[in-house]
Amino acid sequence: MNNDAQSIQTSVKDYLMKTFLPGEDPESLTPDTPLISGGILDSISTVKLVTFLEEQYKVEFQAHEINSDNLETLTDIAKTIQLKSAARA
Amino acid sequence: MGVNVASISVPGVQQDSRSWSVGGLLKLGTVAIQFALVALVFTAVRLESEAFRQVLYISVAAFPINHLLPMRFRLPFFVLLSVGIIIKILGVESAAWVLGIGLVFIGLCHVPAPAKVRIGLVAAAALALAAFRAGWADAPWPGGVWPILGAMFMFRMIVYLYDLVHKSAPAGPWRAFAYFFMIPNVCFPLFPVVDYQAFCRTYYNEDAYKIYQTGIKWMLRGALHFILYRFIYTFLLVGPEEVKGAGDFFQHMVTTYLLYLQVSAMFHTIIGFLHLFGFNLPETNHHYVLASSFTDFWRRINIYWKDFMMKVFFYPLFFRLRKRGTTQAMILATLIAFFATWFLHAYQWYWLRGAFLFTTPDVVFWLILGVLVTLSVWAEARSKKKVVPTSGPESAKLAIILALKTVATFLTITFLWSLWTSDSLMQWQAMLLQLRHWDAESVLKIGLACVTLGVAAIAVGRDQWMIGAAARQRTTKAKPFDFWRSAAANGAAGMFIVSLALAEVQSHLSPTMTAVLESIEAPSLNARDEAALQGGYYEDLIQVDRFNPELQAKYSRQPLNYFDEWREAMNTKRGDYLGVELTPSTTITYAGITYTTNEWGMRDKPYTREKQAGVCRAGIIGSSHVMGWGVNDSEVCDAVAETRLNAEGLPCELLNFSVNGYDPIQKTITLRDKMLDFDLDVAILFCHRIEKQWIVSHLVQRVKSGLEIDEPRIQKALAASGVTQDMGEPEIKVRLSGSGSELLQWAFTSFADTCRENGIRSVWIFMPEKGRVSFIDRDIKELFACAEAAKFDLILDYSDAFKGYPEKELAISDYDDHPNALAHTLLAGRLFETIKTNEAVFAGGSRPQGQTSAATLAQREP
Repeated sequence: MNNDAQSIQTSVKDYLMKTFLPGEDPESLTPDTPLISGGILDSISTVKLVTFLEEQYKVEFQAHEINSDNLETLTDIAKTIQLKSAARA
Repeated sequence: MGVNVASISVPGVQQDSRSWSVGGLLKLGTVAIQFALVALVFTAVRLESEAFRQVLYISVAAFPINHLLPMRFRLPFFVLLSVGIIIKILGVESAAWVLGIGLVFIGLCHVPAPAKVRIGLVAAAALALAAFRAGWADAPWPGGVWPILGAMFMFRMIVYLYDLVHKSAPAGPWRAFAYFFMIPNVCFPLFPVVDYQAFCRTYYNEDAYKIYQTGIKWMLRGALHFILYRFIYTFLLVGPEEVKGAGDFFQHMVTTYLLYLQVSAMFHTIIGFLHLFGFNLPETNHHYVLASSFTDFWRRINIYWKDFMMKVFFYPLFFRLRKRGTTQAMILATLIAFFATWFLHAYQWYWLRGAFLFTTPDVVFWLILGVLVTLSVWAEARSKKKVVPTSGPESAKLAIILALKTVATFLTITFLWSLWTSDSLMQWQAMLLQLRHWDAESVLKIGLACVTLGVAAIAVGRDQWMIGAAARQRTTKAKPFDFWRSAAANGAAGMFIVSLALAEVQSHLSPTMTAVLESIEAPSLNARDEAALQGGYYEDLIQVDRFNPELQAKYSRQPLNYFDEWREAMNTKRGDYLGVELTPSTTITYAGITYTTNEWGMRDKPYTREKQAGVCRAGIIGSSHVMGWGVNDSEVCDAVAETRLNAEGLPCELLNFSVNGYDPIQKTITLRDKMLDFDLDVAILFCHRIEKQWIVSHLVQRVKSGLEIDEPRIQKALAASGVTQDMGEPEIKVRLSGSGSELLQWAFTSFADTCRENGIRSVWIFMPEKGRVSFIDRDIKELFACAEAAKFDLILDYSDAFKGYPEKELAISDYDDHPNALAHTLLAGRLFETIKTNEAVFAGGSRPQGQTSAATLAQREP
């Protein structure tokens, strides 16, 4: 699994577009689009996204990590995954 | 193995936007002017408490200082300002207790010990406080400290500890003090649960002027919500006892739900205010009326509460349970989170009011809502998002489905809300029984409301996150921030609201519009409104005067135990239905006002029982407004009118029998037992808007006190309602509400009949208050209908007695809307005109007992 920031963002973006934003223009979802405060991720979709991230990148989230600091944008998500992957290694 | 990701992220990229350039200072000045305009709006329309308005003006002055300080000094400055304001509002003693106890709690969070020990210490301290709150031991601090202490620590302490233990936000003394003691919490016992992480992360995290402009906009939105709330409360609200059919029930459930506007008004105001000091916090509510599912409702109505529950309950529970499968874990976590929501609402009630809330409507409401949201979560967890077409028939179909879902959600939520706000399950059931009665007006009312809501859902939903991803995409492309456009919009909105409150502007509006505006400007419920008070969880927590008079006194500058000392001196208790009367031959000076009663217990000069020949003698009976609460003896309307009549050669005596708090039954008893002894030519009955509610309220008190009531008509009403002394007050009130109209009619008819039987002309006068508008107020309409049915000789409407004078110029003070000396002079003018222009009614002379006034009048007329 390629864990550089760009590839994580691409993979997560694909997942978000397919699961929560079907039919949307992929260009509208930028690395800085607010996902939680912008209403794209609600509690249920956040839980689904976290499950996806855990399965895809073999990382584990704790409940207190489900917040805007870690999941607000594609950039934040990529950073979070990289840190978790690094810690696991 | 989890990683503490947040600990290495930078929470809140603080942007120091100080600029001494002309452009920067111009922007700063523009924001300061807008902030001052917001303060003016709150003053002009008398929104929120006097205390909060003071805080606003102090903050307007502090705002530029905060902005011009280097970033590292801003948070300490905010803390010092917050502490100063706490001292100003609560006084040194109470403030010292709040700050002292608060510092102990914050200190316990930072004891150098394992997390479990710290949590245990905080929990033990909270339990000790809870014991004091329960009254198991006498707390050494004043009672007004409790709601503020509760508001600052009951939820934020949980959030703070959570973030501290998980190291998910930065810690430090200034941040902690700012978080717990933040302005304007001291003015709002019901406060949004601000998240500590968000509090730190959003502090000056983008352009300061953009943050400030958002704050101004939200505060103005808050003001608008307050105004809408007052309009709904004054003109549209239908109380449980007024529900007579399906249309009434629909209006009741919608209007009680819309009273939540007061909460959203407060939350917008509070969070907007915090923006002015750099806290770029997220919105608190989002078009909750347009929720299209129960989960959607849960996400919109109180976003801070939802986030708090997700953070502290839902996510931890979900992660513990997810071995059972994602969907099952979600459902179980939701159910438990709703149980916690119910418990925490009761817990909040405990800290603010001092008793644990446990009522059947409350339990049933949360149970049903919890099940509905859980089912909604289950459905959403299983569903997959589909491509949403932006045009064509499929799009139209989706729009209609959205409208139908929104209407269905709204109807369900308002239906449940009516249950939640009911005093008892029985009261709610009694309203439901009225659903049997349908008429064309009900169908039209409900139909129109549903169609309007559906259309609004489609119109707004297209630009919000509701209708689908296509619309959402548009919202993610935010327009670039334009400071000057934003300032112009805020300035125009603020000036528009202020201008509507100006007497000069109101004088150019229609009388209807002026009356409506005056009603909306009324700051609070008056004593009579209290009798018909609409209850509800939030209403009972926001109106501090309902549960903590000590704190209310600090908010409004109203003396503590206001009225009590006066009552002590001027009211003598009686063991009969009257309950109290004015103590005869007494003079007291209270709050600078002299009150004198004559030997007969009238707030009036001495009179003999027999009148002089050739003089017209009128007996006046009303309540505190006519008795002259808050004005000197010589300023009471009847005294002013009498002096003027005699000066103009119209010999007349106006005997004021009014007693504070009297309802129509008490006034009728007074006529029969006292007034008839004074050789009256005329008896004048003054009435206010909610006499009926007062009758019911007083009857409830008498049933609870076990008073023997010998009046057959009242006995009949009591027997028909089946009330007993051991029932709870809400149940007695529900049972007696159905008899309110009949008892009102009976009291009026008895009054007029008694006059007729004793050869006294009867006059009925509607007394204005707080700009009530009779043409849309059903209580006032009923009063007039009852007066007409009772066949008073003269029926008069004094609604326009105060025309042309702003409400605030006519009231005794900000916290007491009884008529002041000017208002009494205006009433006296009306009374003078009434007597002068109705000579036939007010002519003096004696008549044989038993002769009807109509016959007397017929004899006297040429």
